[in-house]
Amino acid sequence: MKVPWRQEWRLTGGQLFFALTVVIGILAGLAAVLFALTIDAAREGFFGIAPSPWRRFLIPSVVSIFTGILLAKFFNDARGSGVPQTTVAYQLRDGVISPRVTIGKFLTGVLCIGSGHSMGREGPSVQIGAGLASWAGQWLRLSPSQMRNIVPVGASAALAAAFNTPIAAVLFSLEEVIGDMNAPLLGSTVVASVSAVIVERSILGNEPLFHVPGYQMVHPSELAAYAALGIIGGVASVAFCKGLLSLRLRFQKLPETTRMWQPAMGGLAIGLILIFFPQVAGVGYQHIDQALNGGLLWPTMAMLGVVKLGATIISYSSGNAGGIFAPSLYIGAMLGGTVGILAQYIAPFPIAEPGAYALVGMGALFAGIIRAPLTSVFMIFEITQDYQILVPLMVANMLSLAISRRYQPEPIYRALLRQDGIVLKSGGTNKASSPA
Amino acid sequence: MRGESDPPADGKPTFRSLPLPQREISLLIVLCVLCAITFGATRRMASWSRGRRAEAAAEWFARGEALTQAGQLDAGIAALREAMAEERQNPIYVLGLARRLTEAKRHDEATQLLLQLRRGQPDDVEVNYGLARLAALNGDEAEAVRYYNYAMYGLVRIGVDYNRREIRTELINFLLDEGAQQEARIELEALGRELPDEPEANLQAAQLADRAGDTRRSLEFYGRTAALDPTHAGAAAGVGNAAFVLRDFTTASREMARAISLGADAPRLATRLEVSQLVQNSDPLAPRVASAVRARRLRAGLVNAASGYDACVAESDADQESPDATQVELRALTRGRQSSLQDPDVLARGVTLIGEVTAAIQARCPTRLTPLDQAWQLIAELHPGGDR
Repeated sequence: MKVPWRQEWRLTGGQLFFALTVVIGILAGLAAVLFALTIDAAREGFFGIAPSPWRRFLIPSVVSIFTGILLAKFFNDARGSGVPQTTVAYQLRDGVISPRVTIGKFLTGVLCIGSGHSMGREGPSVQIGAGLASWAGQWLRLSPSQMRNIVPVGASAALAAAFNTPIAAVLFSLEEVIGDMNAPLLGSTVVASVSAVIVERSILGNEPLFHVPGYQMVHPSELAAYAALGIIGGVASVAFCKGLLSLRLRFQKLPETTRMWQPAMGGLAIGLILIFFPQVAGVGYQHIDQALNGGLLWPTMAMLGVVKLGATIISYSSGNAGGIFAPSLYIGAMLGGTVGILAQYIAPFPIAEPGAYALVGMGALFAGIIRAPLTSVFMIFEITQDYQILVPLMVANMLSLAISRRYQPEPIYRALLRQDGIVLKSGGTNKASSPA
Repeated sequence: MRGESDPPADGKPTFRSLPLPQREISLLIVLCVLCAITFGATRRMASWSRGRRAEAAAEWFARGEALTQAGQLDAGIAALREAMAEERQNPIYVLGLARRLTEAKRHDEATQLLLQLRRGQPDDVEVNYGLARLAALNGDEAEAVRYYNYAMYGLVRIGVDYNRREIRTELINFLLDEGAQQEARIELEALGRELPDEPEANLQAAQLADRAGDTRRSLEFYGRTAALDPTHAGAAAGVGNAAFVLRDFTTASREMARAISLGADAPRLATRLEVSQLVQNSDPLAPRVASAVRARRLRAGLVNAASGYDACVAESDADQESPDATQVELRALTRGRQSSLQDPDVLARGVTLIGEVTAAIQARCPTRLTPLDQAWQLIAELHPGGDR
């Protein structure tokens, strides 16, 4: 019997999902690259070369007024990182993300980060990627289960392109968005991440995010110094999380009428900080690179680490759009570099270069703040393309994670959602427990 | 999938009313087209962004150089760091920053930068040269020599003014500063093979050989210089001095006389010329000299030594001392007959005695040592134990 051509051409559910996974990987990867490039262009447009202190003060203050209006009037869900919102979309809202949120995240993210707010672009990229995936799924009228599953696919693809880290992106989706390391979505997230990274590398080249010398542990006793770094990282992570949650709560308690102006209040504070510390503006990768290559003195690094911690808390708490991935890496690199140099003065055994400690510090803070320990280890590997410092990295990560868990039991993204009245359970079983 | 689409309300076919299989494929095609368009746009924007970054880097670099030249080293370094941050892999910016960090005596930071650059370009001449200079400044001889060698035999980027000879010259100077004479002499040998036919280059090499105490090579390089530029007074003086040290008094006299005639102005040169000429005219054991002349020269030397010794004793108020065996023998020879002084053994003994007495004069009355005394010292050195 002859099969009608319409049936012959019809894609099965699995085939369609696979094809969509590849397309979303490409689209999310492109969106992440475009987002990064637009932020760079905005930063250059706002600040130019060597901006004066007045300009450093005025740009975040003035731009944040505009951003605050946009966020309050049009894109209310675009505040903050984007990772918790993506998790909520996956776990509570059947993977539905409004296109308005995606567009709003892109626009406000560019304005906030480009105008000097101390925030990262990776969290927004995750939400933009997930939003594009959700939009494509809605357009193709996917089934509810497929709609839900397409969200982490887009998220991992965008993160893979934003950091040039395909493995870490897959792990992050499993650890944070899905909340289940045994999820059957592993294959789809891998395919999307690889597609995104291929696209990203074909546009930006295969340069690692940071250029790091081949650091390695020079003496077994050095593990003690790395353990100390892990403890310091843990304490800093707790300080960051508690500070962020506390200040955000204060902003939330302000009258509703001030909500539109809260980002501007944050912008004003950031403007004041940028007068004295322009290094903490925006993503700050170039300063991380300097710390990783021994290009900063320890008092500078210590100061920048502390100021970045405060600036990120202010930017995020005041409701601006931007993530905390890059700031956590920044703070970790600065604190790690400081510990590395001080260890050279006091340790009675041979010590690796301070850059090695900056590298491990990045992982320690990421593990302590984001609470994704596997992602943290693999992200450092992939960002630096250096596998020599595995053991110290794991020691510091685990200690930082343990301290952070002990003194801040609820992970930061969950705690942020709780402040917004959303309670998630772990293990991806939230469908039944979603609030009304 | 959600199932077939709803039929159109007005009977006209719309996109939403297409049968689902066609709609899915059509939408995927639309998404692919969207991807292609976005890819093109993003690629173009990335290219524009790279261009802008390159411009920004160039501007920061120019600003950094201007600030450092104006004496604001720290501000200049900060600007150069910005340039490098904009274009991390541009060796011009990295090298520029490393140079300024070196000037600011921030050697560790400069070394880190160059090592980072070297990972991608291990054979680059400029990078290795920079590392060599930093290692030299830090007094790390092994590292400096290693990087100097990499620099000398590395790959040269287009537009880089590379001169292996200059690098080797710097290495030799560094080795001499470190007291590594032997290693410096090995490098001098290599330098000799690289020297162009330019008087200044050969003169510089000769001066290095002088510093290294390699008189033979110094004579060779001065000789080349003199051959390339016969009017070069410094070269002639160098040949004369080197020949003097090597006890080639004929060449020394000739070249030093030529140097003085060319305008070389060195009192030491004139003294050495006089001594050289005296050696030539006073040596009783010189070849192709008649026996009578030998005897006359020996007698003159003996008389000079005896009178010099007497004057020295008188000057140092040591006249109570009784003459020693050497003095007695010297004076006996002075009074000897002319024919006895022609005896080869007497000639040899006489030269030895004069040498000993002159050495004694130098020890007791160094200011009394005349050019003739110096000449006799050299004659005694030339014929140790009366060697003919």
